[in-house]
Amino acid sequence: MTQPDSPKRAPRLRVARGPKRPDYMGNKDLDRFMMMFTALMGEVSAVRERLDTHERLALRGIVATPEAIEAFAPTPDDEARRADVRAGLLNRVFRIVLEELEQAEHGAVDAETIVAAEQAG
Amino acid sequence: MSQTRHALLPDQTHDEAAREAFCGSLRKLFTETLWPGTREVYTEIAKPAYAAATGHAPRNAREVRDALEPSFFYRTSNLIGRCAQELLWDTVGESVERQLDTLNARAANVPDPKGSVRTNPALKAPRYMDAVDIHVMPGNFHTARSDDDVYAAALYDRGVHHFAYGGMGPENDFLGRAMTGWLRETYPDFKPRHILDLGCGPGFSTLAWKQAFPEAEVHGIDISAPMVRYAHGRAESLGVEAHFAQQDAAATDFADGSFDLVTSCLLTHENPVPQIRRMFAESHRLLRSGGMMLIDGAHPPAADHEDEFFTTWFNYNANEPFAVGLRKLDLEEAFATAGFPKDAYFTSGAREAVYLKGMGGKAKRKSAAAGYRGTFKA
Repeated sequence: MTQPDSPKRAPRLRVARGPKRPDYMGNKDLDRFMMMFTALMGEVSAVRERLDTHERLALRGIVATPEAIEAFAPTPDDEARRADVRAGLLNRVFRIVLEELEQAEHGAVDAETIVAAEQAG
Repeated sequence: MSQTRHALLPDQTHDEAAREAFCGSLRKLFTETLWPGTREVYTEIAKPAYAAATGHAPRNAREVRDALEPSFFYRTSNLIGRCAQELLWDTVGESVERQLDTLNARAANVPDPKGSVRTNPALKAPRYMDAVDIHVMPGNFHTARSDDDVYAAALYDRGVHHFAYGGMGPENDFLGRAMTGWLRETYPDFKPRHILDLGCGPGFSTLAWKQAFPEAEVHGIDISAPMVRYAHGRAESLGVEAHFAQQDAAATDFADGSFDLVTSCLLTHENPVPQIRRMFAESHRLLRSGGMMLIDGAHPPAADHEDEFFTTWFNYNANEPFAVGLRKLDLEEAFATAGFPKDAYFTSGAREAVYLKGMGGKAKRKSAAAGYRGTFKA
């Protein structure tokens, strides 16, 4: 992380003042781990995007030096494709979160009752 | 949609752009799928289960929350929304920090300005601004980290763009443009020559006013020095003449009757009611006879306790504690108390939301905003 040496400046704040962070999962440590997990997804997404830049440069016969990567300007099509890749990442990782939403939209099947009824003949 | 380049806008390295775009995607997931989905999970699963267990449907907003609390979807969606909010500011903040010396220097050395900027080192922010960082943005809008600092404003300009994943427009001014457009359409003969934009921030709405009324002298004030420094540099870089000053909207140094229009955009709902009342009284003093006060209403009134629950996410999860007070404030009474004639009060009625904040329910349903409220000085 780049932090310019500028003693005349107060340090950058990274934690918001105000009401306590709400309790989400009934365990504050679990909430904090989720924060780390989500930030880590952002890092994975950034690495995936850097890889995409390598591939786009390769298609143009350009060697992916750090300078070439920084100079790469994605087209609107590139941006749209990358947005789809990010949405896909979130959709896969958070599949289990979406379980109840799918049940709400399509109606939950009471499998245990059906299986019990079938077995009873 | 990318942002219009201007001299104060932070640039992005390849990886900064990628990390910031991830924050936008996370915000989009929360806004368009997760939070609207809580209403569906509530209706189809949580509410019937609550009614079966208690013998009655939830009767108030607290019982709506109690009904949803057992849902993993609800709790995790909320947490992801909070994660997105915190991650956004920290991600953009790291990028701004890398180039802050350059941005500060550009704001301090604007070539051939058409407009102006004034700061006031003696002006202290009210206590509530230091106590609550709105939107959980560390340092809030006003913290100045040095005598030439623009950090908070650069963070907000880039951050809001990702918060709305581009939905605020290339210059983050779609709300301002909607407001100026409504005024021109509704009051075609009203041609303000002197306009004051309260709580102008980086000047998103201030520039929209100048563009809507090019003949007018347009002023933007904000209690934050970083905001007005940045707003000045941004306006000049975008070629729009406007005058900015660091001032408290409740006690300005302008003379009585200086303005034909005093307005604000996204300001009132972040302030406690006593401060809102002081701003209205000051606006009354600043207007000439026949001048207009015009504000946006931020949140539509809740239709019932379920609607109240599903439209107050930001109040409890993203440090917007004062919005509840505005929602309950009778603006007709508040304008009258500030000195405006009672019969001069007007409202646009509900307007279609300019961008989707996801608080209205399913994404495919049209989201309504409260529209505009205003009055005229006798």
